[in-house]
Amino acid sequence: MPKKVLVIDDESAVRKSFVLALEDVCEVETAESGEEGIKKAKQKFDIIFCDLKMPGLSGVETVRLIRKKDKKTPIFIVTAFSKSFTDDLKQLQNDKIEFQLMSKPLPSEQIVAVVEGVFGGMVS
Amino acid sequence: MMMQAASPYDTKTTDLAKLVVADENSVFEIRGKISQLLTLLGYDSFHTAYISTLFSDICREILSSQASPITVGIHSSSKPYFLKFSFSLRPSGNLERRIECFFDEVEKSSKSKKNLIQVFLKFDQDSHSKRILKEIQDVLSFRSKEELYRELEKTYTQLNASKKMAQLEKMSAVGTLSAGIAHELNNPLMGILNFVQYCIKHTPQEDKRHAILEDAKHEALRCVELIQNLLSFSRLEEGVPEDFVTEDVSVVPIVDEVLKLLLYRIEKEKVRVVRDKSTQVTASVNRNQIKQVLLNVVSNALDAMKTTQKKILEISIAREENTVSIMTTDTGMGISPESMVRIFDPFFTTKPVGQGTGLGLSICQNIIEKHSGEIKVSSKKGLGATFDIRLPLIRSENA
Repeated sequence: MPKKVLVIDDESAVRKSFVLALEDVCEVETAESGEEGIKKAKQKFDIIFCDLKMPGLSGVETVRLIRKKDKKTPIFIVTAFSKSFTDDLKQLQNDKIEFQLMSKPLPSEQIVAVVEGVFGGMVS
Repeated sequence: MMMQAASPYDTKTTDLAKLVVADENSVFEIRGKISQLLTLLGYDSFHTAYISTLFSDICREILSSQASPITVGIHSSSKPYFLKFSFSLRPSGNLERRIECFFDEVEKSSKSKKNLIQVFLKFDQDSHSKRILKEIQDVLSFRSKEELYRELEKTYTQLNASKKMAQLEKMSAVGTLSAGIAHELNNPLMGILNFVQYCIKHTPQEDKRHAILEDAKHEALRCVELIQNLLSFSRLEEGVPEDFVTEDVSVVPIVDEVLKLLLYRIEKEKVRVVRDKSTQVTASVNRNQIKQVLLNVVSNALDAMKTTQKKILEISIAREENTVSIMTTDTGMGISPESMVRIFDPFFTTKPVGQGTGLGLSICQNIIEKHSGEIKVSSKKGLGATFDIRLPLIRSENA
């Protein structure tokens, strides 16, 4: 079965970046909002990338809701680190909700490296 | 400093001028004349300014309490540089009160070569004169040289504090602004970078567009670097705890590490590094941040020596009571006074476009202040620059 990645980001430039970078690596599904992301996350994905700052549900809230049902899928919060979210991220960490941070802007080789790393069992 | 007794200078005097002081304007005019006179008599500029200011203050004080013109006599004593002022007051009727001021240069003491000025007052013993004397005393004591220095020092401290406040405010405004810009640019930039990379991947190497796309990627990566700088700057500004943990760090090895990182440049640019490793100090700092500061300062020094003949970089570490001082001195082109004023301002750079964001030293200052330390720079244009980084050996609790 082909590997599948979900990208949740309100910015089309970012979603497209993932799609293009991963075209030869795996299938990429995208969601424009946290709400849409949660719906899509009901399917099985191998990795989820989630933006932090989004209108509606924020990245932190989205990850929290996804983690309620899915404890296993590696989730990467892609962010440029903003002060308003530091506390939320810390809280997420304190609540033992598993996620990893990646900082924007991500060049394609980094996207590919992370995905292949997870698939290869190097990163989890 | 004030004496009520007869001054020791009741020697024969020569009248130099008799002036009527009627209002603020004439005080001002006379002040100018007195300055001229004092200069003519060989007083230096400090004393000239001091005496003429003192004089006009006294005139004003008397005028305001008299509300009528006063006559001022200026006399010179037998000593060539000794001046005596007498104020004639005619408040009512024909009664004339005299107040005399003596300005004299006290014998130069053997220890200090500085000239001191003493002021003596002589006046009638009636109550009105006493009141005026009190007022004059207020003026005089306020203006005593020590006070003057203290006042100056206080003003200087205040000025520095307000400058620092202004700098902090500016930094925080820039921090907020740059964070905003960086966040907004981040996403489109990620798009541009990835789209270009995608095109590169799908363009054969022999296609001449391939090279152009590579250029585009290179430029986009430059923007990425700038944005990351901006973000790290604003992160410091916003106080996001990039896990500000300190550890006891030996200073000499940190400098070693930094020089190792820059070894390629140091060798290529034939810079001679002079080290004094004799002082072994441990400071409680955030290792990475201090490394970042030193990396910045040393790279700047290397940049400054690019065009100079003499290329010597001196790094010394000194321990002083509760601080450790890391000092770097280069033989580069130095910093002009105009640049000096703005050297720690965010986005201020003298480097060519594309070679500096102007954030380096701003970030350094930020980091050092976080450590409750201090970073200072001194330089003469054309003669290199010295950066002195001072860090407390034990970090204070509230830092």
